Amino acid sequence: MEIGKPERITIVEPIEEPVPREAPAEEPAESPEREEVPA
Amino acid sequence: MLVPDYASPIIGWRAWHVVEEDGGLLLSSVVYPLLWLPGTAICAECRAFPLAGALHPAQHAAPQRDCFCGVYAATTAEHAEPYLDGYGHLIGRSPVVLGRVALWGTVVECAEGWRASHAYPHDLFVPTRGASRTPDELALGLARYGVPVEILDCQPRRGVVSRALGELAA
Repeated sequence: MEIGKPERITIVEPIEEPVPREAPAEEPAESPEREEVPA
Repeated sequence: MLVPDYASPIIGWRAWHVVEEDGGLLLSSVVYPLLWLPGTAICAECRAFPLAGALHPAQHAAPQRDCFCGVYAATTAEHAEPYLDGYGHLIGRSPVVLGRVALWGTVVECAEGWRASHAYPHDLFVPTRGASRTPDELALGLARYGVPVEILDCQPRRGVVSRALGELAA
């Protein structure tokens, strides 16, 4: 995805949890992967 | 101690493939075979370093300004739409949905989007046509994420979905 050149780094600490409570955490089918996404 | 810049998540646009795992539907990243699990935030990890070697900073927490790592999102739906035309490891093999994603933690602000350390879907938009499953099946299956899921009466194509989103907002 083309998102342009980096401009600055920010720290975002939401007061409210962004993951809905009604969405129950599920066990991953495999080992939990983590994301990095190059352009 | 770092002082936060924002107390609310940043909301950006991205696309996902929809795949079936163990009888249920899951979102999958387009570029990498990464499953987004309901109720679990994505936590970014840099995968570029071992591939890019000296071109990028030494192994580091994602995202870093001078790398390509982090969970990507665009400022507008138009910027995320190119993935609707087919891209990535599941091209032509699974439906693609567009949606907004909440980003938080460390976030690299870019000219037309963001790269973040943490992410979770904010809402999802399911095009009605061109998928092997009905939109109702997709919307019902994606309800497990606990976020709004809207059906868009359109083809999953660049320019078409953003126009439908504009009509939805009007």
